[in-house]
Amino acid sequence: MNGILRVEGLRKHFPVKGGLFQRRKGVVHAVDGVSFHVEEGETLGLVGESGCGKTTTARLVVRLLEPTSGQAYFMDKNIFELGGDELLRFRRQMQIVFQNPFASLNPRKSIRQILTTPLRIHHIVDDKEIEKEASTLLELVGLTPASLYLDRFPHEFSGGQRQRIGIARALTLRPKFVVADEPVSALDMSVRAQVLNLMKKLQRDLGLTYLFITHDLAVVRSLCNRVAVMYLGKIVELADTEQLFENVMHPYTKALLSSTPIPDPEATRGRSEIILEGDVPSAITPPPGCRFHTRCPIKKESCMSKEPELVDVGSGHKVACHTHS
Amino acid sequence: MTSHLLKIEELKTYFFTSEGIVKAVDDVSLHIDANEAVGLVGESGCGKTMTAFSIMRLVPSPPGRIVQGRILLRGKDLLQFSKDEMREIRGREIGMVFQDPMTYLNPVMRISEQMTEVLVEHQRVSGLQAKQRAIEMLERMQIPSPDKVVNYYPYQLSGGMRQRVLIAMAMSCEPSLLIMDEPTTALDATVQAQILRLIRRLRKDFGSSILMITHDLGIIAEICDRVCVMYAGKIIETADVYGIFQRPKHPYTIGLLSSILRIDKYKEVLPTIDGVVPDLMNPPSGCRFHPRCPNVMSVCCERPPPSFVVEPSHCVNCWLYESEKE
Repeated sequence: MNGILRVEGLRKHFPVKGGLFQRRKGVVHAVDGVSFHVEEGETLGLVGESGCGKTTTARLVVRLLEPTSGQAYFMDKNIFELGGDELLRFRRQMQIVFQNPFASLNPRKSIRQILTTPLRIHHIVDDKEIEKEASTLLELVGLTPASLYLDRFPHEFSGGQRQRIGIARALTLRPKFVVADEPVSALDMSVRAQVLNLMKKLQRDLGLTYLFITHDLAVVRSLCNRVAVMYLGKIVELADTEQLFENVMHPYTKALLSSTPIPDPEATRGRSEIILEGDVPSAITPPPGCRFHTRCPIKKESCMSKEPELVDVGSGHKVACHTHS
Repeated sequence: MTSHLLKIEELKTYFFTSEGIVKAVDDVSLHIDANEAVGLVGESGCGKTMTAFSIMRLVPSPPGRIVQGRILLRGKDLLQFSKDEMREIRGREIGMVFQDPMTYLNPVMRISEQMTEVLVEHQRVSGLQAKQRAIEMLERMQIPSPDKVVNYYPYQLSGGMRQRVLIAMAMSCEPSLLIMDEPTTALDATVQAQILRLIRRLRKDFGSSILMITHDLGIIAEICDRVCVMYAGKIIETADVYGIFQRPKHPYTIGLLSSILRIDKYKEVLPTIDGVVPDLMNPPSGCRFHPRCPNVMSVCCERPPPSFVVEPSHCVNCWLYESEKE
């Protein structure tokens, strides 16, 4: 298996400092040994609750952060060893859409400036074509006619429109790969569907590959080909989307599915519930053994001491749980 | 006429800004019966939170002002109450739980101080009794080792625990109505499930009525008996929870329900509602949904639709149902 993106044993630990002289008090194990790959043209979903390391993984993959250890290969080149021109070329091919469309656009720049600056820096098109390219991009994300939008500033737009601008900006460099970090979480329901449809359409038309970070399994089901579920810095289950929903294996994934409310009183009131007790433990001192054992409804003796490996249980469905090995 | 616990009649809450008048709540009527959980659902900016703030008389003023309407709690109009009388109502008769627990807990006060304040004020109990009661309430919220937690500061608690403390505070005087404004929006899925289970249990134990304000139709489906759908400052459809989900009538409700994603169903293309939520400073004429409505007729642009009764206890404000009675 090669894939356009391959991540191997990725780790990112953030030091926690405090007290007199800012001594190091410990480390947050944000991402702790994560491996996966993404095939060209597919969408891999990375789901989990806050603090599970999904955003850190996204930032590592686009090299906005340097890892503590581990490797990531994009088109067979090690992302963390790129420098100079190669790094620029990598940035052109891999772009990111951020979660909060209110924070990720510079409020003092017009939409024209936001879209033309990357075009100019990376010489994507001829200087004469830049303005036209910016208009094309806006129309591509559904903001038509572009002339109406180009000279306005971010504050003049609604959340959904801003997210479209964020997507247009990510597409300025004609990337192959887009990392989308919770792109619809800040949006209202009716707008959320619009943006997801847009992302699906762009993927079809431009042949994009997505790494889609989200906490919402419902979004995963409608958008992703495969899903990786994260808990406390580790992948606990990885499978084809339909396979995951049909035959969920890891107790955490089961609980997550059961916790997602279904907008249908008959379906939601009839189903059996798995409600976990307690909160996610601290990533500074993660529990020994299986990290989920403190909340697991089916834990065994061995779960408290031995850490389960992510093993393939057939047709690419991988689970990290002692009850399935 | 049956006597409702809370009845809102033609409420209008406007914001008078330098740029114009924002009609945040525009002619809203609804009622909540004893022991009933009513959901108020809508997208951001539709006026659902301001409806709740109006009930509590907490509308930031200026620029906000309740310009018209009545809010009857057991037949008495809260809008006629003096400040002191209103203080008696808040906390004792009506409790409120807000979206972001950290903003509504005082960071420099221990949980015990914040909780006992309410009890000493409303129930005239001694400090010691109040603390005992606070611990008891925390226990009922399934907080582990409540006798320790009561001495904590808010920062020592996780998001889910803070929300439990806030619910404990709101429930401590056993109010007849509990208003919850997006109580689980800031929480993770597994913690949200815990809080929703707690809310269901509290309904049984305390018998309080609930006004649940949320944008999440999944939460409505789990908790509520009846639902009011709000759009651009107005309630556009009211029905019992099965009516709304199984026989939605208003094109907005229909659009909203079909555009939400579900974990139990795959959809290739998601149906969407075109356009954006209107500006409440200059709302569209006639029906406020008409610029986005797939079934728009000429009458929709001219006159706002009244409430038509399509089924017993199912009302919809849409001209498509004009043949039904008003």
